[in-house]
Amino acid sequence: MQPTIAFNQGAAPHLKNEISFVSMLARQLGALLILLLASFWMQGLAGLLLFAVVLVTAFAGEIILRFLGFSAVPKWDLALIHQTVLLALFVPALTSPALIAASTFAMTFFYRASGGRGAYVLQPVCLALAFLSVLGVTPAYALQGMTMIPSAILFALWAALRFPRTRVEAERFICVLILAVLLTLLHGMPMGPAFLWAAAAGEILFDYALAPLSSAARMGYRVFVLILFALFLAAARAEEALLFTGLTAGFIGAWIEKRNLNGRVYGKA
Amino acid sequence: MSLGTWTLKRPAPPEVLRVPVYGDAPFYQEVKVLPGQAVSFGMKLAEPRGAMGVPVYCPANGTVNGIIKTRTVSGENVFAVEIQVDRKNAGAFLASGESSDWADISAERLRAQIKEKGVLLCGRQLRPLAGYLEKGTFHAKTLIINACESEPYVTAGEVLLLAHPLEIIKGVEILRRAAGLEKALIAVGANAEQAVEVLKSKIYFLKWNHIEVRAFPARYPQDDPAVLLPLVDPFFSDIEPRVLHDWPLPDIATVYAAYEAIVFGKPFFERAVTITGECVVQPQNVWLPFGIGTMDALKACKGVLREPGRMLAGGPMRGIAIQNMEQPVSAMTDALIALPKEWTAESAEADCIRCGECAEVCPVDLSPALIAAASKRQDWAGARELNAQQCLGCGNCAYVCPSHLPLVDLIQKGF
Repeated sequence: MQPTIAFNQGAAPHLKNEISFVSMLARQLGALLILLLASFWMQGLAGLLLFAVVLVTAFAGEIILRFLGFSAVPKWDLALIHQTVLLALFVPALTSPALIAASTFAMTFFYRASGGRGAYVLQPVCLALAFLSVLGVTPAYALQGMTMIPSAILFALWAALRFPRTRVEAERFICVLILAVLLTLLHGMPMGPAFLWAAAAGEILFDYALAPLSSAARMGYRVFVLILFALFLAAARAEEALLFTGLTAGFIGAWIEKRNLNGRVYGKA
Repeated sequence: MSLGTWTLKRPAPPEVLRVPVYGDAPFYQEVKVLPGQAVSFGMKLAEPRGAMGVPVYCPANGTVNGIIKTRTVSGENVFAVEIQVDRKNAGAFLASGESSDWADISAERLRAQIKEKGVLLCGRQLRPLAGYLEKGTFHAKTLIINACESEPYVTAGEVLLLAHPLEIIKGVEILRRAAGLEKALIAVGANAEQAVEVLKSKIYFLKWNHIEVRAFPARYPQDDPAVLLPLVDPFFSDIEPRVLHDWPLPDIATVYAAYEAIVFGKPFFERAVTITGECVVQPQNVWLPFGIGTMDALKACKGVLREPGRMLAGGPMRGIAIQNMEQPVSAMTDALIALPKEWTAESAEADCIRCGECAEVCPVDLSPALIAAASKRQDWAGARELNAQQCLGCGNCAYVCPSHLPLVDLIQKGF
C-alpha cells in the first residue's frame, strides 16, 4: 500500500506524549494518600484536620498573593492543586494548626514569589530534611560530630560536578549553602554541616544514581524519600526546623527571582 | 531484512529525481544543464562558483525535465534539477579498485579532491566539507566526529559503523589529514557498544593510536553538539549552548562519503537513510540518491501497511513533517519515518500544573514552563532574561509535559 497522505501539520516532537495530566495528578494524589494514611496512623484524626488546614491556607494564600500581584501566570491554573498536594506532604511533621498554616503560607509564598522555581529548590530541601531526620532519630545522630569532613567533601564534589554549568544547580547550591549557614547559626554547629551533607548526598544520588531511571521510577523514589521524611520528621517533631526552612526558602526564592541567576550562569541576560 | 541488517541496499531507480542544487552561500553552485538535455550517471549537474563552491553530480542516466523550485523533505527551499530517469539503464557507480596512495597525498590535495567530488558536511546544517576542513574551528588540534545517534528510530549511522568500520576509520584519518590535525575523536553513543568495540579493535589492528573512540551517554539529545562537546572537553562548558548547537561536526555519513571520494573517487550523490516507523512494511537502512521522492524511497521498503498519521524526515523528536510525497531527499536527510496515527495524535492543551518535569529534562537547564508563560503573555524581554535564546529545540520539555503545552513553539517565539 502507498500512503495517500493528507498530513502533516504537527510540530516537533512528533511522538505522542505518554504522560497525561490525570496520571501526573494521580501519582501525586497517590503519594498524598499514603502520607495521609501515615499521618492518620501516627496522629489520629488530628492528621486529617491538619490536612484541611493546609488546603484552606493554600487557597487563602493563593488568593492573597494574586491580590498582591505575585502570581507568575496570567490565569487561574492547576498549580494550586499541585502545590497543595506537595505542601500536604509536610503535614505529618506538624502538630499545631497555627504552625501548619504559617508553614503553608510560607510555602505558597515561596512558590509564587519564585515564579514557580520553588519546586526545583524545594526538592533538595526535602531530600536534605529527610536525610537529616534519619540522622535525628537513629544512632547515626551520635555521628553528627563527624559530619563536617564528609559534608565538606560531598559539597565540594557536588560543586565540582555541577555548579559551574547549570542554572538550576546554581540555585540549589546557593539555597542549600545559605540554609546550612542559617541552620548553624540557629541550632549550633552540628546542624549546618549535617544539612550540607544531606543535601549534597541527596543531590549527587539524585543526579547520578537516579538520572538514568525512568520518570516513573524517579517519581517513586521521590515519594519514597518524602514518606521517609514525613515519618521520621513526625517522630523527631522538628516543627521549628520545618517552619524555619519554609520561611527561609520563601525569602531565598524571592531573592533568586530578583537576582536572576539564569543570566548570570551563561553570562548573558 | 531489518533495521539491524548490515547490508544496505539501493532502491529501484525512480521515474523522476529532483536533485537539489544550493545556489547561494555557502555552496555557490550553478546549474549547467538545460531542459531536454540528456544527462548521464556521475555527470556534473551544477558547477561550483568561486573558491568555496562544490559541484552537484547526477545520480542516474536520464533526461532533464527542467529546473524547478522545490522544498526538500528536510525543509530546505532549493532549486532542483528534475530528471526523467532512464529506468532500464539508470547506471551505477562501479569502483575501479581501492586507491591506497591517499596516505601520501598532501592536505591541500585531499581537500581539493573532497571538494571536487562534492562532499558536504552532513550535520545539523549542510556546508562544503572541504571549506570546513580548511577553515573550520578545531579545539586542541582534534577532529571530533559526531557518531552519536540519539534520536529514536534512527540507526543509519550505527549500521554504517558496523558494516564498514575499517572504511569509517580510514575516512576519519583522511579528514584528520585533510584538516592538518594531530588527533581524532569518534564520539559514539553508549547504546552502540558493539560499534565501539568494533572500532576499537580496528584501531588497535591499524595501530592508529591518534584516533580515539569514546562512548557517551545514550540519552537524547546526546548528538547535539551543545550536549556532546562539554562532555568531550570541559573547555566547551564555558561556551553558550546555542553557539555550540550550531558547531559543525562531521557525522558518519560525511566520513564515509569522504572515504569513498578519496579512495574510490566516488562523487557524493547518495547517503545511508533509515526508513522506518510502525507503518512501514519492511523497515531498513538503504542508500538513497539525493533527489529521490519520499514515495519512491518508501517503495524500497515495500511501502506502508496502513496510512501513516505523520510522515517525517529525521527523527521523531526534531524531524520535519513532510508536506507531500514528491518532496526530494537531500544530503541532510538521515531518516524517513512513517508514524501511525495513534502515536502522533495531538492532545488538548491544558494549563501548566508546575510539575517541573520540563525543567528536569532540559539538557541546558532552562525553565521551559517559565519561558513559555512569558512568551504567552508576550513578555519577550522576560523570555530573553530567562535565556530562551539558549533553547536547543530538542523537544524534551514538550514531550514530557503532562499538560501538552507546545513548549518548543512558545520558547522559540521568545527568542
